[in-house]
Amino acid sequence: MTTLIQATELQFAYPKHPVLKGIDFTVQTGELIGLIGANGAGKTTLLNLLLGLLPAQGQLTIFGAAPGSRQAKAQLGIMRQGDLVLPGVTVLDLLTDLAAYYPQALAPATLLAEAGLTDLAHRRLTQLSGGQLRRVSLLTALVGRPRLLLLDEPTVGMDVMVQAAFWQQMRALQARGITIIITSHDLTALQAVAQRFLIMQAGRFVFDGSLAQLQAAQPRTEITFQTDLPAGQFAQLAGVQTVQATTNGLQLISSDETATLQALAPHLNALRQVTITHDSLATMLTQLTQTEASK
Amino acid sequence: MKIVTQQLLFDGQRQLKRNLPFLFFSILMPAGFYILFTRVMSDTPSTPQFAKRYLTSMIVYSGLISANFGLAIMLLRDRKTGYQARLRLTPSGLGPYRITMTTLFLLITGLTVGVLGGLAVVLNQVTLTAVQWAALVLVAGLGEVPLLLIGYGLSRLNREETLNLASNLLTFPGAILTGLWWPFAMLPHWAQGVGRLLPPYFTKRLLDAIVLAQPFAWQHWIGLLSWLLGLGAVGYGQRYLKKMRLTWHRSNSNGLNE
Repeated sequence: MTTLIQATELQFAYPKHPVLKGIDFTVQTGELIGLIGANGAGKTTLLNLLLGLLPAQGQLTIFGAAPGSRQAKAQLGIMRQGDLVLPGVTVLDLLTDLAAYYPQALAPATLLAEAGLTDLAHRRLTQLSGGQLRRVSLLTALVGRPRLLLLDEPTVGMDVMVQAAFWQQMRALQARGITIIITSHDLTALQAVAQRFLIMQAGRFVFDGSLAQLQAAQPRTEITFQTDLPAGQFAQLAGVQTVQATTNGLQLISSDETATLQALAPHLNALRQVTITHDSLATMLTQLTQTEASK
Repeated sequence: MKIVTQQLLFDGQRQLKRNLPFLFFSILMPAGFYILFTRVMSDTPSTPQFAKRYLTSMIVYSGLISANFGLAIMLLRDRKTGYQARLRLTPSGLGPYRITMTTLFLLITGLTVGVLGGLAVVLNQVTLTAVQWAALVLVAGLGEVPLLLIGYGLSRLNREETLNLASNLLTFPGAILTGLWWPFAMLPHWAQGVGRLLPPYFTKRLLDAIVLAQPFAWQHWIGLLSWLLGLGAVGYGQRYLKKMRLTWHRSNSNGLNE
């Protein structure tokens, strides 16, 4: 494993408006990271610092070089919000043009073929649908044969089918050793592919770890079932925080799933239609940011 | 070199092959004016001198249109669509793009001299020596540089509508005041005074000297070079200020943890 990004006490502020307030993190080769947080948390600013578009304070290196240096840019692929819609330019024109700027660029025809987009090669960018433009934008990020991909809200404007293909492609790229950092509000899809989450709030990381670690840090399981037993009987079980009657039956909220299930075991014959639900990434993100905000 | 060649092909294709309005306004319209005023709108054939003078007028006019409309709008659109931002993130940055844009519009100036010169030869039997043709291309190119620098400046405007307004305000009064549309001597005294300070005036007079085989007037060279140096200094100053702002920003990022 090689360290691609090393950030120590990273800060950035607009005049009288601090955005990043001292961030430490490292990124290793082959990681697929979800960078998430509410709007205005500082995600896009962080990406801009990584790209060298904003002056960083603190220590920040990418591939051992300064952000924005020739060495760093040669190994970086970027897909930003908004697509390149240049009048009079075809998909192949654009990819050929960008390929010329990279020392180890992929052949545009090969890139199009691998993405199954060869039929779009001679179509003008102005004639493409929103989803097609997003796919072309991903190709513009890949054309320089990057080792690190930074994707800012990549799935906005994609239909369900294209989104599914996109996330599959992310797994394939990661399998090829490409490191990927994605900011996305599509948390359901992100939690299925990312192995590490960086959660930002008000310019700081409030969490850095895997989904399992996040769940462990915020143990909350919803156990729902139908029963003829009185509700009060379940309130004293181990780990149970609340008991509530819902249209689907009784709903227990547990802070210790294992202990609660063990405590429920003797009553199993009296329970019907048992469902166990873990919090989604979106719910955990909301709870985490609320908790942090109240500190 | 590979990047510049590829970028030149890319920009040439989108600006010349696939941008008919640009071709029309910057080359075909001046060519149309040339035909109209030297052949159609006159009962008697144009004098050779008028045919030559009007040729230089339309060459400079075409350069004005190319810089203030063609280049400025292309740069503004490339900025608005995010194309410039994308190129800035490549290892070579925006340098090759800037070189190519300038080269492309200088080549277009050469093309304009070729098209308008061809019309002058065929329709009005204008004859110039090879040295005169070469000098025409060189001086027209040199005279185009300050106009391109103005075009670069205009492209910094935020909205295309504002740019169109500014381009119209600079181009058409500029063409009138410098005597590109009708004889300079016919303008009122005050207008001549303003026109004598503008870059197209100097380029037009230098081109006239070439086609009429007259000696150059040194003050026209000084006028043109002053514009070149002045605009170059403004461009450099702007970049310097931008750098200073970044340095200021870095030093003012201290104390974030207050």
